Amino acid sequence: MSAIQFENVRKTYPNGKTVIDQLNLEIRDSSFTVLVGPSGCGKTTALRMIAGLEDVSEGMIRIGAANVTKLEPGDRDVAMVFQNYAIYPHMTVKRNIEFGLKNQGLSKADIVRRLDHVISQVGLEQYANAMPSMLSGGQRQRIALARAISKQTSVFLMDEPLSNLDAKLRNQMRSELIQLHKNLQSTFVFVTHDQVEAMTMGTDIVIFNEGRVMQTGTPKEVYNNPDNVFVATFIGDPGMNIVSLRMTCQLGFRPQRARFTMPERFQGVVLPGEIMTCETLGMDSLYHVRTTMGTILVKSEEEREFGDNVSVYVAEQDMFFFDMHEQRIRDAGRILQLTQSILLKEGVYVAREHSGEAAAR
Amino acid sequence: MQENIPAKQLHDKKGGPTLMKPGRMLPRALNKVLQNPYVLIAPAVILVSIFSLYPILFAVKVSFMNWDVVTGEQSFAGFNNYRSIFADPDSMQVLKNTLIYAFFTVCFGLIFALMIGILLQKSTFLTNLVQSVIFTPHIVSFVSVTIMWMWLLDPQMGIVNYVLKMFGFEPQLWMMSPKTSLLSIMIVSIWKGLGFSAMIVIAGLQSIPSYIYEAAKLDRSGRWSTLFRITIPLLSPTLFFLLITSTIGAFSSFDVVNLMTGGGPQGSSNLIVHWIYQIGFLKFQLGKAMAASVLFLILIGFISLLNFMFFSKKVHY
Repeated sequence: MSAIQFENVRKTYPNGKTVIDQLNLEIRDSSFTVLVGPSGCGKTTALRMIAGLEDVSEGMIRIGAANVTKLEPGDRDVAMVFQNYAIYPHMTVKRNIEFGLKNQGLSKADIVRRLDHVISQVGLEQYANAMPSMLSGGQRQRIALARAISKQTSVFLMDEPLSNLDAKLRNQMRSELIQLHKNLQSTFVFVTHDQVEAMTMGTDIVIFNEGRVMQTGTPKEVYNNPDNVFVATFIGDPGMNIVSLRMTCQLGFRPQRARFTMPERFQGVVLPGEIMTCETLGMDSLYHVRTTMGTILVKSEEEREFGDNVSVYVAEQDMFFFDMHEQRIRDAGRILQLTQSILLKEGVYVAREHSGEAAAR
Repeated sequence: MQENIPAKQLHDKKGGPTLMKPGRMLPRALNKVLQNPYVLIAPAVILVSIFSLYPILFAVKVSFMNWDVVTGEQSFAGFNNYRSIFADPDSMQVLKNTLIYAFFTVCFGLIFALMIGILLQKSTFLTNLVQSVIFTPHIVSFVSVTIMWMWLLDPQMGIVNYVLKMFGFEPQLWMMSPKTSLLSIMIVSIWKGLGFSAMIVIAGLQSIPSYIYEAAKLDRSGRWSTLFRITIPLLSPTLFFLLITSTIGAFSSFDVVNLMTGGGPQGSSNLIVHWIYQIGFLKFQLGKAMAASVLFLILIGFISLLNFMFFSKKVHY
C-alpha cells in the first residue's frame, strides 16, 4: 500500500509566505497522479514535501500507513527525478546509479543485478562508464530515471522532468513514462505546468491554484465536468471561452464545440461576430471572433477568412454556467433560467429548433 | 588569418556596401600590417620580454659571474657560484626549512579553509559577519600583523603563553627559540592566508547547486558521505587552484621571515627567498644570489609540475 495522504497540510516559508494552506488530498495507490497548475501555485512544494525536501509547517503526510511527516528523505521509500536531473557530474553513469544503492547497504551482487537491469531498461548500456558531461540532455534524463527506478521504491516523484527536453523527445519520453508506470505499478506523482502533459499522462489529475486544490479527477472528468472557471479555462487546448452574463454569472463553452454553421436539431445560443485572427493548426484552425459578448475562440475545421462576418452556434448541452464565485452552477432550474436570460442580451438570440420542425424542412 | 575573406572581396563585386569592412575604417597599408599575427601578439611579447624574460636571462648570466656590487668588478666565475651554494651548510638548512614551511602552511591552510568554508557556507547575518572578520587579516598589511603577533607570542607577556599556562602546558619561547621559530612564522602565515582561502572555498561551495545535495539526501547519503563523495569532489577545481597558488606563495614567502625573526635564531626560521636576499643585499654576493635564484626557479617549477601530475587527474571540472 502506498497511497499518499495530505491531512490539513500547511506550508509557510521562513519569509512568512504561506504557499499551501489546508491541503487535504489523497493520491491513490498505483495511480499516475499529475499535479498541474500555473507556476507558483504550490504543486512543486507539495511534491517536495512528499519527498521530505521541504518541512511541513502544520499537518501530516502519510505514505501508505506510515506517517512520514518527520522522516528523512532517504527513509520515506520514495525516489525522485528532478527538473534539471540533479546528476552527480563527477561520477560516471554507473556510479551515479550505484551511489544510492550502496548507501542503502545492498550486497554487491544485488547492486550489479539492479544496475544491469535499469541501465538496459533505459537503453544506456553503451554509456555505463561515460561521464554525464559527454551525454545529451535526453540521455542525462535517462540516467536520472534509471537512478530513481533502481531504488525500487513504492513512490516515484517527478518534478517537471520533461521541461528541459525538446518537443520530439518530450513526446517520446511521455509514452515511455506511461509504459514505465504500467510495468512498475508503483505510485507516480508527476508535477507539470503543462496541461497537455497532465491530460495525456495522468490517470488522476490534481489542479492547483494559489496553494489550493481546485479539482481532482480523471482527465476526462476534469475536462468534461469542470468545477469552476479556473479548471475550465486551464484544462483544454485552448481552455474554455468564458463570457460574462448579467447578474454576475458567467457562461463557458469549449472552442472545439462552437460551430459556424447551424448543426441539425440545434438548440442553443447564436452569437454574431467577425473573425479577428486565424491560426492554422493543420486539420483545423483556431479563430479569434469578436462578438457583442467579447472576443471568443473557436476551433473549427470549417474554413473562414479574416474579416468574415460569422454566426457562432453554441448548443445548449455544451454550455457551462458559473456563479459569482466562479463556481459551477449545477442546478437544472437555475440553468434554464440563465439560458433564457441570455435572450435578453442585445444581439444574441436563442434558437429553438424542434426536431419536428427540422424534419419538416 | 587565412580563413579571413581578403579585404578586396569584401569590397564586393556588385559595388553595393557590405557590412563591417575593416578596409574602409583603416588605411589599406595599416590594415595589411594588422593582418600579420606576429604584430597582434607583439605587445604581450614585448612586455613579457622586458619584465620577465630579460630578468631571468640576466639572472642566469650573473649566476656565472663574480660581481662585486661595491667595486663594480665583474669576472667570469664558471660554476663556482653553484658550487659554493652546495658547499654552504646554510643552503641545506634553508631548503629543509622551506620545504617544511611550505608543506605545513599549504596543508593546514587548505584544511582550515575547507573547515571554515563549510561552517560558514550558509548565508546568515552571523556567518556573513564572521566571514568578513576572518577575511580581515588578508587586507591588513603584514607589518601590522607581525607587530600584533609579536605581542601575542611574547614569551613573558604574550597572551598565547598565558593561555598555555592556564591549561597546564609549558610556556614556549616562540620566536626566540630555534625549536619554535619556524612554527611561529607558520602560525602567522596560516592565520593571515586563511581568510582569503576560506573566501575562495565559500565561493566554490556556493557554486555547487542545491539540488545535488537534495539528490544525495534522497540517495540516503549521510553527512560524511556527502562531504567526501559529493562536496569535496565538486570543490576540487577550487581546492586545486588554492593548492597551486598557496604552494607558490609559501615557497616565495619573504616578509613574514624578514619582519618576525630575520631568519633566526641561528637560521632556524630562514627560508630560501629571505636567504637569497641576505646573500645578495647584505653580503653583496650578487653572483651567488643569482645562482640560488636560478636553482630556486627550477625547484618551484618542479614542485608545480608534481602538483599538476598528482592532482590534476583528480580534479573534476
